Amino acid sequence: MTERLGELLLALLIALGAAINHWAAAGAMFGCCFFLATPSTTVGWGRVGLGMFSFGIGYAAGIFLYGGGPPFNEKAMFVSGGLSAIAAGAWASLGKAIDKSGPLPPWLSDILDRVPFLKRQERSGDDNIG
Amino acid sequence: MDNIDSLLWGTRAALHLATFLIVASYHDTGARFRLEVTTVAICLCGSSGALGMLAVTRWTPGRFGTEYNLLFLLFVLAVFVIVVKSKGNVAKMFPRIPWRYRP
Repeated sequence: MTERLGELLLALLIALGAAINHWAAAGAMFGCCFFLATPSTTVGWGRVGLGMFSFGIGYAAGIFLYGGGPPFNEKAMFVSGGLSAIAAGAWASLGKAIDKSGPLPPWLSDILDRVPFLKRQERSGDDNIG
Repeated sequence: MDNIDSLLWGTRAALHLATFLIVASYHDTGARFRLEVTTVAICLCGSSGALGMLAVTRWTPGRFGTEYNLLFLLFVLAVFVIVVKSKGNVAKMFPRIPWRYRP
């Protein structure tokens, strides 16, 4: 009975391994560690959630751009790693800003200023001076 | 032979994932940002996680028994011991004593 269970688990593991895009998964796993760049921002389960979030984003991006297989495309690893790292870094910075109720990081507010509908409004009183 | 292969493969995957978890779970509220420590931490943690993921998802029975993989397993074991000794604190891995010879 135990041998059967072992064989079943082994078969499940091999089937899972064959179904997963391993390049995308490896890239996303690498990228989700980028929260270590700001280690004081996340603690405990928050860190686990952030890791899972960035892993999911990275893996999904790899599958989206280089889906299909096996054999899988190795380029998925770079896409997944990059997007996962960006997601982890941005989300950690955003979380820190929200926690401290402080201003957004300058690089993030610069990016947001370039999005038309998120652009900060000029103060109306400024034009009336003079 | 297949059993030994599986055991070695599983050991390597477990060591990779354990290294990843130990480094990723380290937290110090008073830690200050140092570029070299952060870079090494991300490289160590990320590559361990990625290699562990590859080892799990690309496992094939009877494919371990090469000298390369055996040597790599020893290397991974050495890294794991260093990580355990420093309790996941990468900054602790950097020596504080001056390493240059000063007469």
